[in-house]
Formats: sequence, structure tokens, C-alpha cells
Amino acid sequence: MSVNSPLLPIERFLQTLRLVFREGNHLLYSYGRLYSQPVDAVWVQGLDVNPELAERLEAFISRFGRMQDTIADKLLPRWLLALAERPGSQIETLNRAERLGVVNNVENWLEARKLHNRLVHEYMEDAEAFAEDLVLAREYSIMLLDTFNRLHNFVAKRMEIEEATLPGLIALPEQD
Amino acid sequence: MRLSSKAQQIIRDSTHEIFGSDATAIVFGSRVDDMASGGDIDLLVQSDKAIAQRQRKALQLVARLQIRLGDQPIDVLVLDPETTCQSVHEEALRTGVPL
Repeated sequence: MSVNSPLLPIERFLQTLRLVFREGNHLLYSYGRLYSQPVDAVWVQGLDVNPELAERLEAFISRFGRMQDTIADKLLPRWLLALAERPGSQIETLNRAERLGVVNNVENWLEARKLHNRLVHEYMEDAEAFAEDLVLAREYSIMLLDTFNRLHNFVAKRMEIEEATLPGLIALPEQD
Repeated sequence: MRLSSKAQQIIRDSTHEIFGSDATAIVFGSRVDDMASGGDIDLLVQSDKAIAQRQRKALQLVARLQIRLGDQPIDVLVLDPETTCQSVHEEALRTGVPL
């Protein structure tokens, strides 16, 4: 087999699964750094004089969006291809993933997508609303990480793949 | 108004499901301009009663409409007695069409 031969769908999927595992752990790290303090409107207003904190927030928002995009645009379609299914539009793919128990709720997933869009495009326009969005981003982050774990469980139980080739599960943070 | 009557009905129903029957959905922006084409669906949800969890409900409405109307860019603003009325709200009230 030449080095240029295309990856089999299953190999491509596993490669993406490992990538999302890394993205998830990076999100988890930024999550821990961001939510180690109460996030409210006063905290948001303080970002102007605390560039280090603003950078921490930026990392979180970016990792939140990246993990979400990779799961929806790459991981789930490649997973369906590995199952010999034909992925459709993003909503069709999410619906299929919901039916297979990997995405918990398509509507919540689309809410998280819109939330990321809002965090980027309405960055700090209104401190109160931005703080509320950051509180929401906390629970939607857990949803993203949990989606990875659900998919991992599906792969381990339903697809004949050696456990050793799979990345681990992501340790979900405890929510207070 | 460049939204079918069916789409308008879906927007009205979804708004009431999420924000309650007192809330009114107002379409503004390019969708009320008959000369434009395509474009985002811009909505202002207005309520005389205070709405808890405005930010979350706006996300819910966007997501539900993307499922029911098809995946497309949708923006939702919420104006209740506790929201500071900004120029974008005033513009939406002045030019928008209540459903």
C-alpha cells in the first residue's frame, strides 16, 4: 500500500476521534481556569483592566467553538461514513446521532452553536447579557464533552474496534 | 414581508411556546424589505411582562426555528420591561412587522 493511499473511513473517523479527544481536554482545561471564579457582570466589566483574564476567556470561547465545529462538521459525518451511512446536512447528521443516542438533544446542540456565535459577535457589548451567556456556556461545554463520551461508548460497544486504538473518556467536571 | 404565511405561523407559535402567550414576535430587517432577497431572519420578541432567562430563551427560539424552518441564520432580540431599550430595539419597533 502506498503512503498516499486514502485512509479507510474507519481510520479517518478514529483519527478525528483522537483529535476531538485532545480538543475536549483543552476545552476542559480552559473551562477549569475560567469558572474557578464566579462569572457575572462585574467580572465582565473587570476584563478591561485584566488582559490576562480576557485572554483566558478568549481561549475558552475559541476552544468551545472549535470542539463544537469539529464534532458537527467532521467527527459525526465521518462516524456515519464509518458505519456505511451517508451523512446529510448538519441537522440531518445531528438527528441521526440523536437517534443513535450520541447527541442527547439536537435542539440543545443548535442552542450551543448559536451561543458560540453570540459570544464571538456580541463580545462584551452588554456586560449583563454577556455574563449570562458565559454562565450558559458552562452547561453547554459539559454537553459537548458528554457528546464525545457518548460517541466513545457507542464505538466501544457497537463497533468492532479494539479498545487500545481508542482515546480515553473525558473526565467531566462536577457542576455546582 | 418575505416570509410565507406558514413560516410566520411557525414563528408565532414557537415564540409563544418559549416566551409565553403575552410575547409578540416582530420581524424586522431585510425580511420586511420586499425588494431584498434572502437574508437573515431578524426577530424582536417583545413582552410587557418581565421574562426570566432571556438569553437562554433567545437561543431556544433560534434553535427551534432552525429545526422547523430549515437551517438558516436567525437572530433574536428580546425586549421586556427589564431590558434597556437600545437603538437596535427602537429601530426594530419602528420598522418591524408584528406577527
